[in-house]
Amino acid sequence: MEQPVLAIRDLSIDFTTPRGQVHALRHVSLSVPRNKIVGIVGESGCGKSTLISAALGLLASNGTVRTGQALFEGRDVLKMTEPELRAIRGERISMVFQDPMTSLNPVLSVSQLMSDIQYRHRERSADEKRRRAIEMLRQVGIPDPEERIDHYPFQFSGGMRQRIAIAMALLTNPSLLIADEPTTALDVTLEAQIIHLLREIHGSFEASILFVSHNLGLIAELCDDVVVMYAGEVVEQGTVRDLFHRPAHPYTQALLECDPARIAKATRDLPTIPGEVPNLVQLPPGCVFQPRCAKAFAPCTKAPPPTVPVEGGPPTDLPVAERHAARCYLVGNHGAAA
Amino acid sequence: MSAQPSDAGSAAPAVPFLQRFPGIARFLTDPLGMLGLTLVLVMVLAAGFADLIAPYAPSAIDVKARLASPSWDHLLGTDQLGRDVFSRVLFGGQIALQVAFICIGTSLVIGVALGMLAGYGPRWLDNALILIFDAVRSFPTIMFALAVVTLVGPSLETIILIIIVIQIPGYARIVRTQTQSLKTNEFILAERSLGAGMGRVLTVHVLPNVIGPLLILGSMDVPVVVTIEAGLSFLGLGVRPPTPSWGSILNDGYAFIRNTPWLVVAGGVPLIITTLGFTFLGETLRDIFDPRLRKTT
Repeated sequence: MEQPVLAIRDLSIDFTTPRGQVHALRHVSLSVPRNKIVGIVGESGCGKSTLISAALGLLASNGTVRTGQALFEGRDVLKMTEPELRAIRGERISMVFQDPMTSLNPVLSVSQLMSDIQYRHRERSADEKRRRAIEMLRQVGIPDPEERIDHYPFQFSGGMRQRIAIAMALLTNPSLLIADEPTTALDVTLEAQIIHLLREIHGSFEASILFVSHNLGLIAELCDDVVVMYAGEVVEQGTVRDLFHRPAHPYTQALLECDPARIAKATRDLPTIPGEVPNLVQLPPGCVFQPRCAKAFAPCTKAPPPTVPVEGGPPTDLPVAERHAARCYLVGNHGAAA
Repeated sequence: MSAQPSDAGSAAPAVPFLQRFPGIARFLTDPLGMLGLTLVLVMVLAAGFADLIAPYAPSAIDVKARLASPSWDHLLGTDQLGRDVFSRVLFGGQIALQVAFICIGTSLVIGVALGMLAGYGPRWLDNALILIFDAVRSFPTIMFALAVVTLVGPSLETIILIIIVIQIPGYARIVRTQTQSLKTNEFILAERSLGAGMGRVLTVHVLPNVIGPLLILGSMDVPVVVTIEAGLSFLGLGVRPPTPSWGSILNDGYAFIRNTPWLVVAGGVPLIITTLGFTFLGETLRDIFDPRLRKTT
């Protein structure tokens, strides 16, 4: 099988805080295959952002890696020195942020921002850098880029700024583009445009995309594979088709039920998942979702369930993305036993 | 700006010079800015061309014309040694502006560098630098100057050194605070995720964000520095006689204030003009160079 662009293996990360050790990520494994779009869904605080900052080697200084690896093109990002990391960031991995209003330096013009980001290419003249920047702006759909490139970020609308941020991320032709909720700060029509743009980019730049969102509809529309995260763990992963048609984990099922777009009957009471995300300092002894799970039964409170393939077979700690797997006693062989 | 051919076929209309540089246009239409610029230009030109303008050498003594009233021979009269006050004011301005520009330029550069290091660098460095800044700032200016002058002896270089040391913490603290608040900004994270290292983040992204407020502060500090220099010279701790300084002119005139008040006026008015000019200029520059305050063109 072809080596995935990004492979996260059994990654656990703790943060040291005054309240104690926060176990932000626990034994997370996922892979982003070449030329695929992988979506990560989960509530706020489930470890999505920790995961992507770890993948970029931008972990906050109070974070420590307990176990695992983050292999980018076969090399462990977590063991790289700062110069090695910088050689990868922006060159091989790029990132698009949530809020385009704050992710562009307000005092530099787009031309300055985009030329500066090409600083590694000393052989390019200023004109050459500018020409490339204009070309990239044209590709992300900025009208009249020759004129607009000399404008400042505040002279663009939110959607246009996000396009500029995407253009900046693509300037160096990365093999992995990480998009951290790139449409959350935009309104719905722009959201659709940006998703469309990401699809186009995926086609023309041959970049894999790791798309983080809490919007299930977007994930279904854009992604090939989905990873569902809950309280710092991967609870289920699989292809979009598997996950949306045959959700195996009770959390995924509950998430899908709560998606307003999927509710058939008009109601004022939107369904919710009762309870709240567990305290990541003091974790429940069994399954992390057990306190909120409607289907919890005896084994759930005793020990954390293993990750098992939904179709049956032996438990697996390193699920392959193409394989539909979930971390629950109700799934696979366990389900049969119960 | 760009030399690209317009592919739409519509040749770009010749944009008037001023419209292409809206900053200059705005400056020209701002009365306070123009007043400030005029005052500053008058001071700078008068000081710069003092050699050509001054009718007498600043230390030339004419004993027969001691404490003369203003006349066509001596525009601002003469002092107790018969020196032409107008010439002394001009050369005093030369010293004052020289001191101001050297001090502010040097302390801005050092202050910005230290401030960005403290704001962006590791915590221990921040703590150490802040401790030093606070220690320096806690010295009363005059006492500090007295101590240094006592140790080193009064001279122009001593004054410059003292003022630089006094000015650095102010700039550094502002830059540090700005850097700290910028550091958590998403665009800094975005730049880092695109591969920018500490040097690039600081010079390309932090510096342009902090330099606007600093330029205005630097400009508004010119009168402060001029006043410190004048104050030290007034106390006899600064420029050595017979080199003229506004402070020593004031000091000379002070003894004769009842009979010949123009001596004090001649030393004081340039200080006022300098203060007003650089303050107005600084504020207008701030409005123009800070894009966050800039209106959409």
